[in-house]
Amino acid sequence: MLGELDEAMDAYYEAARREPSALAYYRVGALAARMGATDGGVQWLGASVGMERGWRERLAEPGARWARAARTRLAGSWLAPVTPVLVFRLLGGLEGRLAAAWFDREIAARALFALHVEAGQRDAALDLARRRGWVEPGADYCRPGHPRGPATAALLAMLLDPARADCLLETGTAWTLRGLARLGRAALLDRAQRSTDPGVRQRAATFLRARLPAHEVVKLAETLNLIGDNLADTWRHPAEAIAAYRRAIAGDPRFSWPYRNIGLVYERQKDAAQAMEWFRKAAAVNPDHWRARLSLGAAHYERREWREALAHFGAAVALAPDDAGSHADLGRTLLRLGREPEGVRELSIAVRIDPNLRSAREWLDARFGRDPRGGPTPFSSR
Amino acid sequence: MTNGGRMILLLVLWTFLWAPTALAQEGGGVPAAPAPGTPDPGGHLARAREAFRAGRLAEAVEASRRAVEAAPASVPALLASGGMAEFMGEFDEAQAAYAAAGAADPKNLDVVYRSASLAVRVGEYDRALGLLDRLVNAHSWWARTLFRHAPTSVQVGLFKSYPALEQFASSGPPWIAWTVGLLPATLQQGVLRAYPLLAHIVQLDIDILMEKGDLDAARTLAWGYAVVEAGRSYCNEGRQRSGDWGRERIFSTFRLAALAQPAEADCIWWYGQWLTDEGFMRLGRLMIMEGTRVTPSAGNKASGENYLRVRHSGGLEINKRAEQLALIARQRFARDGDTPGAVRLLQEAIKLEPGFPRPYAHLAQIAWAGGDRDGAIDWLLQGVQADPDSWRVRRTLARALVIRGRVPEAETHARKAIELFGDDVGGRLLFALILYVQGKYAEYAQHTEFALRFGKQFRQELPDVQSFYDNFKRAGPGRSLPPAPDPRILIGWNYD
Repeated sequence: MLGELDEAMDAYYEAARREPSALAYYRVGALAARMGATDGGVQWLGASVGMERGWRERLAEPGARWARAARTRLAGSWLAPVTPVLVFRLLGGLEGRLAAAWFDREIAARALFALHVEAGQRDAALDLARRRGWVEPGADYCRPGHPRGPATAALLAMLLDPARADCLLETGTAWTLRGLARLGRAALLDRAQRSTDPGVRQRAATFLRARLPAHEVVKLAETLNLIGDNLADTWRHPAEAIAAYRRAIAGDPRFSWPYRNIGLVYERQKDAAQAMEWFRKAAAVNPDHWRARLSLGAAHYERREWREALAHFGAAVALAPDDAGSHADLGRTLLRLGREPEGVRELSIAVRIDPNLRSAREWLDARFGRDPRGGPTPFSSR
Repeated sequence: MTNGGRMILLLVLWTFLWAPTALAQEGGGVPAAPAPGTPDPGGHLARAREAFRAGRLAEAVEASRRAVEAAPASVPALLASGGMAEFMGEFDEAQAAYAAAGAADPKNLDVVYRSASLAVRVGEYDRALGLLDRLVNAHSWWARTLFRHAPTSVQVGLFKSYPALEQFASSGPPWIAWTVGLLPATLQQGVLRAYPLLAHIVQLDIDILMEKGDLDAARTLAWGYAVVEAGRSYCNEGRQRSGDWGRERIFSTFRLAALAQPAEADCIWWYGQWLTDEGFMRLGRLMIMEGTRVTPSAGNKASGENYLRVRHSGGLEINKRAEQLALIARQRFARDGDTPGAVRLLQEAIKLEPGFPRPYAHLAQIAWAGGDRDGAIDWLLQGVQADPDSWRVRRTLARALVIRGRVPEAETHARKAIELFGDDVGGRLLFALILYVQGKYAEYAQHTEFALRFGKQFRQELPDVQSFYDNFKRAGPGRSLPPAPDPRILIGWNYD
């Protein structure tokens, strides 16, 4: 949690040594992977996958799987709204108790598979997939509800059926939003180059440019950045968060995300000057870092420096033309500069992309009356 | 065996014996979003979506038409094309697209919803209500049974109706928590929350019934589905609103007041005035009539009748399609910068409802913005012919004539505007200016004093006007002209 990864590794290693189990091996392997120690990660995750199940696991596993499947199927069925809530609670409780006695090797296998892919070990990844019975000749890995889960299924599609792997776009986006820059980049790069759909290629390329670093980020730096996010956002330890971000920067100075994240920590602490400085650094390291541009634009806007704000918001819109918030920010700034027709156009685009942008919508409605085209009645029109 | 064990056994038996059969019967659901990977030959649909979001509406319309040409039986293409056409006010084209989509896939619920939307826009209320009913029927049998017959407490959820239940579930004795847990989620959280489309249909039904003039049925629905809550005075909330209330919130509060408080004539009236300003003429007219009917005050009744005369063409029931065309045209011009499209829709509105003054006013505004000031005046003159008692057209015409230097003509219309609605500070000041220009100083003074007095009453400071008038009183008329600002008026009088 604090980013003292070596210390954590020592503790997990000692725990695995004292009480070997698939779960203990998985923890060591997952941490090694996060630290960028690929070989160690492969070794330990592989050991977790291959470990024999004890008698407790052999009893608990089928029960836990059944409870999970029953709960999932029930929740997704037409019976869900009329099933007593107690039933869900009981199934959940049962699953929880049994799962505590058993470690699903599939979790370790999926982590190992992702590690192989991320490290460019294609043959090893495919070998693992075959051994696990994941390979389905002719099947559509991108189909909704794939039993391997969307992440593993998308990677399988990438390796085995690139012509039908456009679900990587959504999965890659999700990885990026979770801070997994390396996997996100691999997924989006694949689609930008190999998708047969020009629209997908374009969306992937746009997203890559605006939302992901242009280089392959050092794994440890990515991990430290994520740790910093946790410390800043979940645990509210700003000093420790900044320390983690600084270590990420030291590990990969070209990775712009931690620079911006430091700026956000200062912004939350109302230190506008420091925030602005770090946002500038992020944009200097990567001028196409969309979020850094937005942060800079917002910082200038707060200072009523409209022209500077305009430059950054304009850049943000060019980088992410599908983002409603960027258009709204640009629109507001144009209005501040007295450029009403352009401002109206940007605000209109913003609410068209996202009708829930309240302040933009209210400004337009106050100016032009409610837009009746959103719905046929006064209640439904927006 | 313990009680817990028996429960688990029953659960196991139920899951193995009943669930597979039951789960196999996938019930009808709400309209589905377009499935991923929907075919889009030529990529026209994707282009249409992108162009629409970027505000390139003409391009979006064209791309959606091409999508239909590429796949004439494709429901997504037809819905996209119809939706674009409806958005642009091209109702005939939308109608044709929806009809084709309905023929291609009669059970498609998106088609049903769109068709209902268009039916409302062209005033086919009963047809719209029937289509919305079809959407209700598409839900599973218990959902629609609960929706149609269950009490309000079930519609909004037992936890909301009986907050103690939720408390027991989370922190009460275990046996109570277990008992509450026997309730399905639908009953706990409510039918409307479990099925959001039903909640949306309720609101649409309410608006449609109000517009049909069946206020009682609308109110019954509103109470039955807890759209309005007992013990709240929406009218007072609206009256006492704080400065940070947005337009949306004010609008919704007045709407709820009109539904929940039939005796609050003022608030019903304000809702009607709000709707009138926004351009929802039919519903606005009905609300003004209702507020006028309900008010016990003779003075307010007279005001209501006058409002109908000067803002609703004497109570004319505007053709629904004409109303929508005018509304959409105004947005096409103001927001989208689409002058030719707006002009075409407004001309269509005039053909449908020649006595409706707003399209003339909008055409005048378009002409004026394009630099054709005389053309704008012509449109306003036509508007006056269409409705001689349209206060707003008279007022706008007077101002336009003054700007063009046609002051004696302006006087006629400015005077008439004051007669139609005297509490208009901006109108009074304009009239005062006109009188001053023509040397009618006594009348100038009379109207200026009225405007200043009225402005003070409503805390509208007019320092320039006051200063000029004070000079005039001291030194008589000079070479410069009196200022004629146009401050914002009350709700209901601000827009065409």
